[in-house]
Amino acid sequence: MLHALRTLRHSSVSLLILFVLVFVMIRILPGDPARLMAGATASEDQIAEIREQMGLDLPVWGQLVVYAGRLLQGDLGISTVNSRPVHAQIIDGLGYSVPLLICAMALAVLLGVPAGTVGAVRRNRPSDVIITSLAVAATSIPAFWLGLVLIDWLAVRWRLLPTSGAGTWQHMVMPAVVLACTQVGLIARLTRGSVIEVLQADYIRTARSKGVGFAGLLFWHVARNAAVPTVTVIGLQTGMLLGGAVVTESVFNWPGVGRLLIQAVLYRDYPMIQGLILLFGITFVLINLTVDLVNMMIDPRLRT
Amino acid sequence: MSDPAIGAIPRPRARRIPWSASGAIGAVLVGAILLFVVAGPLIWQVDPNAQSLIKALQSASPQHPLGTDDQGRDQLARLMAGGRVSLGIGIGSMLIGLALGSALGLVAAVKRGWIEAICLRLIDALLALPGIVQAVILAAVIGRGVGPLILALGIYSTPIFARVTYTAARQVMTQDYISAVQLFGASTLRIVLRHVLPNIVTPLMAIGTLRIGSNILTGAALNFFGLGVQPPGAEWGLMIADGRAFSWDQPMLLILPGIALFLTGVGFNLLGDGLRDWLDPHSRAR
Repeated sequence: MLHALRTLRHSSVSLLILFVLVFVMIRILPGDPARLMAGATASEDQIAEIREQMGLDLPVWGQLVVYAGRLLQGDLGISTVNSRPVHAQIIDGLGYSVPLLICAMALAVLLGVPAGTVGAVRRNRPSDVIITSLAVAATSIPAFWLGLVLIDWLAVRWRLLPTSGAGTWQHMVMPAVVLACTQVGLIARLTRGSVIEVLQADYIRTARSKGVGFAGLLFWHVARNAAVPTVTVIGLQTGMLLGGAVVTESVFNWPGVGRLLIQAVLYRDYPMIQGLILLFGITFVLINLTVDLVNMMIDPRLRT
Repeated sequence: MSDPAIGAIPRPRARRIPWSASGAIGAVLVGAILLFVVAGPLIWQVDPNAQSLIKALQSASPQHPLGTDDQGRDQLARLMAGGRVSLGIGIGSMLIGLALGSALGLVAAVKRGWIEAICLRLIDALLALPGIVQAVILAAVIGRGVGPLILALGIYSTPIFARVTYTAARQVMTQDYISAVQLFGASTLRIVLRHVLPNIVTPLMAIGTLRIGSNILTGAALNFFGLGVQPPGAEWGLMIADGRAFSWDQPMLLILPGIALFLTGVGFNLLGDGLRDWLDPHSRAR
């Protein structure tokens, strides 16, 4: 428990440092958000007015204090692109991102864990070589390219699925497959690794000599011991999946928080970028905390 | 296996561990890609940026073995030029990450105290966001273009090198022979150069190779979104973005740069894994 709390404290401090760094850098580096928001035809007076409205006339530290004060009231500021509140757009985006991430992770786990286990049990046999090769291949496919190729063939040429956007379950098939593809390889490889390690342990030989059947061996002896590293990887990969969502959502025009980030970056929508850093960072911290807690539930040795 | 008396860190020279088949495949792939992008333009001397709208979107022909794009530019020459940029981004950003990361890790491991704490916090701050989100934010803050992109990916790669360096260097620093040379009056600089650095080079080589591959893929994604190389420059990710609009007529414009990226990713992944297994037999159990 102590370990989990220490990790939580550490990662919160890290996130805070990162946020302040980005907040300050955005304001030090060239490129005036007020000028961008006002447009090319705006007069100097109009720009000054917008700057005042956005609080950009204050010194950087003053702006940080104002931002923190508003943040405590749940106010993340207003998007400079469409003048809508940042928090409202993020909540809308989450409504799309969360189901997509859950589907993709479920797909990756349901494929990766059994594939890795089969690879470990049939180690160095043809089926293992095929699974390991596919896992390496899946890790190296550029996700945005895979997405475009799927759109081009499944949607445009064969008209099996909608090309992009959201709405029906058919819209979710391709983004979920692409997102899962980025994770399944690593999950399979690490599951294989941890199962192999457990299979070599003395207690497995003992169980075998006791006459435990193969299925019983896998479920009662191997699965519980190989679970900790696997759960860790799955958890950490869920964090990485947030990153994958940035690319995949943009390719498929899926209106989630990942696409919001790319748009915010392309249009230099700084309030939105700041809000999304907090969202991604806090989610990442919480996922890592959950991994620690789940591991403690599985493995009593970690509870000390 | 090396003589266990040497300590926890194995010396690679003493062992004769054969290369794994996958590591060899990776080495061949990486070699072939390097040959294609470095030596290729010497044989295929066509300007990758020469436009000719009459020749737009042609299929494969003797003049243009892989066809032309929407501006009539030779696709083979662009694949070679684009690959040079992609590899340059991957290798350049890896080197920046290696330099910053190993410096940060070494300082933290040697100095201890509050300097160590600051270095470690800084490393953790760079790990506070998941994967590509960090790279996208860095690219947004630093600016657009190839140089800023390489810098952004370099900073993005810093924490992994720093972590590996720090762990390996701490491991060396706690060995008895370090206390011994300290007693003989060796300076910190001498200890770092003579004793710590040689011991951390091997893990860094494997990580560096893996990192080139992943940085090429991440860099291509950022270029795809227009956050790096600006047109008319060629880069595999940017070529995919350009080819997207014309894939109905010329699917190869979309397919080929993706396959090039994929093979490069596989090559560096296998080579990096092979290097790690070869240099560090402890990881061979996996």
